[in-house]
Amino acid sequence: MTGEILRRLAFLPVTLFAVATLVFLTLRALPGSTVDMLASQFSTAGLRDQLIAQLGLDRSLWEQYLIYMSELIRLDLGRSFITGKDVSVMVWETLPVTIELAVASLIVMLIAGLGMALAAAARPGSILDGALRFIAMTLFALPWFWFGILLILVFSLWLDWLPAFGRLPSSVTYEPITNFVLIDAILQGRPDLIRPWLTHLILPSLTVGLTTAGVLMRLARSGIIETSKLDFVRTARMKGVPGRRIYLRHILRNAALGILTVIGLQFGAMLGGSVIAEVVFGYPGIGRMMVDAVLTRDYAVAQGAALVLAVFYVLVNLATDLAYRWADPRLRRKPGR
Amino acid sequence: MADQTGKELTMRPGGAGVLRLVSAALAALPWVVASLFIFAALLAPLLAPYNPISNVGPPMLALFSEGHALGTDGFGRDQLSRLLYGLRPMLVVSLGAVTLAMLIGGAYGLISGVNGGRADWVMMRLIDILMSFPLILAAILVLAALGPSLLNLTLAVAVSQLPIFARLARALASGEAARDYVMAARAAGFTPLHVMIREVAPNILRPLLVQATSVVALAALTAAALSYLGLGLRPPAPDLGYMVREGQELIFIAPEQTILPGLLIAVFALAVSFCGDQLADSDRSGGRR
Amino acid sequence: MTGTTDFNPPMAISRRNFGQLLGVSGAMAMLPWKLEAQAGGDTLVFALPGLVGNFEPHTWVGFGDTVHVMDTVARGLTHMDFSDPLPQPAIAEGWTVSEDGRVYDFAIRPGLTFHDGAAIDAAAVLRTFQRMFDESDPTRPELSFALDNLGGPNVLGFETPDEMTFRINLAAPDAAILGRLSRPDMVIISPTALEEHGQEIGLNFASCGPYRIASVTPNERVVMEAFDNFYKGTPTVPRIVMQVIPEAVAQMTALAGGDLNVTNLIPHSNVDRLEAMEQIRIEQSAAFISAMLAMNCGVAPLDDIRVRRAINLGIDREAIVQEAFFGKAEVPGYITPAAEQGYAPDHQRHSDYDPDAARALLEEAGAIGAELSLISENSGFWPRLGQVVERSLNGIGLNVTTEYLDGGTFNGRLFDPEAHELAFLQRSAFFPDPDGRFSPLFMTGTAGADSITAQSGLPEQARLDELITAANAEGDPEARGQLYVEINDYMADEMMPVAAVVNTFLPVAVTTNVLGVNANALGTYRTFLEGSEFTG
Repeated sequence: MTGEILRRLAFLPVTLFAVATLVFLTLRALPGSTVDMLASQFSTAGLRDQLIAQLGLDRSLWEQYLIYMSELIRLDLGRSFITGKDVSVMVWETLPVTIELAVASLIVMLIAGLGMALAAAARPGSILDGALRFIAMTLFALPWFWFGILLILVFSLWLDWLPAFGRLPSSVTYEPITNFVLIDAILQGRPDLIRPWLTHLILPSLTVGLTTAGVLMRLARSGIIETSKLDFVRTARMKGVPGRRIYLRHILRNAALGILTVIGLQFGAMLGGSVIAEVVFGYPGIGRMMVDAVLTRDYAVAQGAALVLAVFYVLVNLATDLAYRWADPRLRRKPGR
Repeated sequence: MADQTGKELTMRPGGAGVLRLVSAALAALPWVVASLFIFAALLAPLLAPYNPISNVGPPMLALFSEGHALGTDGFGRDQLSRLLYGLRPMLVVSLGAVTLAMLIGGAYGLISGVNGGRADWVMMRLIDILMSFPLILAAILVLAALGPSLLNLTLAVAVSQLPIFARLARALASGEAARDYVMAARAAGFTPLHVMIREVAPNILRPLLVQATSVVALAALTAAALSYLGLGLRPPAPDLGYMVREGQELIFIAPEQTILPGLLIAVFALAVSFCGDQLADSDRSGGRR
Repeated sequence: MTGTTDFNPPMAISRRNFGQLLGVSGAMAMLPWKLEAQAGGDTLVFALPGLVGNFEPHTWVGFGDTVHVMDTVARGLTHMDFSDPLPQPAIAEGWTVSEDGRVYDFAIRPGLTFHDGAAIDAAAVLRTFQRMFDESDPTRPELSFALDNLGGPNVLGFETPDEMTFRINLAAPDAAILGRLSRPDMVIISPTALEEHGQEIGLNFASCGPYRIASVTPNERVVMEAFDNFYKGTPTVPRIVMQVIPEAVAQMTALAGGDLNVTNLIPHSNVDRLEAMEQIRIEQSAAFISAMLAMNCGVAPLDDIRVRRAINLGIDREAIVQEAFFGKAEVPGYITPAAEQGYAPDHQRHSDYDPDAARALLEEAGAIGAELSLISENSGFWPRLGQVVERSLNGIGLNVTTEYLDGGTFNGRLFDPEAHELAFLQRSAFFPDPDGRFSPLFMTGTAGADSITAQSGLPEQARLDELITAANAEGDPEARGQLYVEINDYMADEMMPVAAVVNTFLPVAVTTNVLGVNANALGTYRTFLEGSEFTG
């Protein structure tokens, strides 16, 4: 198992190198450049050449690539052409926001998905089971952006319960240290931050969490049902172990393996995929920053954001795999894949 | 319900007949709905009361207006006609993208799985890399590079689905490759290409098709999201995702202009998901027998 | 517009019905999740499209940082508040111009300080302008384009004849320079802050606007407090919060809920709806924003002026006003909008809609059925505009296909004369001087004339250059305005490199408890909130 971890970790730089190269090349293949975006703000053609030189865009692609890679090796993500800020600072400003949203969405997904799965699997084939499976499928089939708009319409506009946009209300002053509101609230002794932060998190995390809960529910439900048919559960039952204990100790524990994989995959997907929720709710996350950067050809920012998201995705997947291997005794004995 | 556990429990004495009838009807429903979508899209020119891209009435008519059952949009275009025509890109893109992803991803996985060894390892790591690339970014990059069009939207969605098929095909193919009949074919001196196409491919096609059905919904949702971001079709051609975006700013005035196109996407995705689910279930039980 | 304006405000009703329907009135009282309205009292909340948190005036960061925040926290030598076509004194209390129009002396208003306490004198002003001018200045940011916006090579240099006089020396007369000095990139920066922070000044900004920055959370909000030593006196509203709310739905929800006081980002389609709500007022502003259709004079069939004239005659501008802007726009004259100097009512003839005459011109030019591509951005009002323009041009016998592109692709093709035929162009009035739409856009040597319309290749361009240069050398405002009237006619009658499509404004929504918002400025992006106050 240690060998596998090492092999996977050793492969991480290769993945990152490949992602960085891929993003670098595809961005340069896009028509238009940062200079054109900037040049739309001024007039003379001479200035345009000056800008191209200042941004280093007059160098050959190969030279630009080498410069980019040598900066990357020194962990320098470069500087945004448009905002003039260090990309690492911009990532620090936006990544915690997206992580917060992904974690909150994950919690919603777990509560809704597992809750439905447990209720449905308790009596497979019942009307409740059918109804819950239908709900799960419906949640999966909802377009995220559309569901988000409907939530705003109902909960912000009609009911006026929840804020529709942003991360904190305009009345709250917040000086970030870690940029994770919850951690900062503890570090700075600011319990007043927590409630407004949570209320702003509810609608976006419901949008992402509920639409992904459907997948989890279906997999968890079938996992539970299938485990309950396995030999060792039958044996336990025959031995006279009480039903609830079988459920908790044997069935759930085994079904948890499959669930864990789904959670890992979904968390990775949420990091990159919450772009839409960030757009609809004006949530200042890294996904939106990345998309904006692509559209304005702010190469350094798009590259940095994609790279950071890839690192997270790989690490989360690795962690999931390790947890899976650790939890599953059968896999623990087998070496590698 | 179609799965085995479901069947066991519906076989109770008493209302078994009724229940079976109801469950058969329920099982047929998604197929009926999905077919309705396909027919509506195919027959849009006959069903739509107006040309979807011309101004045919006063702008912003409300629902149930005379002559315009679903009202008109800000340009005075008939909403019902636009919704009907809007089904076409959704179906073309989702079915096209999945087919494309299945063919390319399937072939890739097949090559990787049958050959095994170092090539297999490298090919699968490439897929890992593709998967660690934020998929929405991949799709946006493809669209920004190629420009917005139906074909390019299909390509962008296909790219985002490709890894799923590659992995599945690889797993299936490497399983098949270890079987006797493949060994025998190899021993008989058939070329690797022959082994792949003639021996292995037919045996992994069915699970790939089942997988394809179950990701049509995902493809439709991805395409709609890209259109919503303004990267899909060219207006004035009707497109459901773009209609949600156009309607969104009118949500105070005419919420139906946002709600209806989104609802159509959701219902289509729901119907094809159920279809895919049923196929997967029957495949699973079929495989066991 | 039938069917939209004649029913009751659905929002209030549906909100009530919905509550009763679900029996949630009681639950609502128990679920006070949403904080009480934030705005009101001493805090005015304004919506931003985005916020990077870098207030570097000499580069372009984005509308949020570079215009909305900059206008609120900084000020330059002159000021244009859009109520008067002529520049007003600001940090300069007055100015004199030499006989030959090439030397401008600005008298710095005495007794002023920057937000950080440093005194404002001619040396401080010189420091800011030197930073634009001197490429070796260590505090100068990469990509500084401010000098270009001041006058480029026409600016020879700066002097301080005495402690409170600042002088600009020009190579040729340039009457528009007074207006340009009111741009958000011409603001005066504190020299002490500049010494301390250098290139990082944008992250630690100090100038002399009506508000000072209290805190910045990038991508979220900037909090600003009234500045006591502002040249017009302390602003009435003590605190302004600019909150990032990029999406229209969220903005309107915030307006309705009282979480937002002032915004210029709402879609034209919602003006009537918002106006019907009692807590919201829509401020009417003049139409300073122009959408134009640039025609690439270097490619067939657009190299034929008859085709360009046909296109100009073939645009149904009334339909654009109604369908793309829901009536919240005007049929234009030509380049200069009615709200600016240089406009004459007679210009309306350049925007006549005459499809029959257009078709006849196309037939004469043998261009019936010609295929043309139109490039447009895929955001904002452009897709709506594009759909109507495409339709009306196809109505006169052309075969136009519109491509809706992301910003990067659009601008890339716009600045490449080989990569576009028809293209949309926006011009707003950052300062309402008639020259603002001509020398930066239609003079030989500008990207506009060389690349976008490629009109530099037309034989008439030399004359146009002369006319623009002469108009901008005229010191008398009245006579100058008349010269621009004639330039509009010359360009339309003899060249027609662009068709005026529509003039509009950003609708400004204000909660009724706020008065004194400068709507004309907000209607063209500029953000002067110092005159605002709360009622009661």
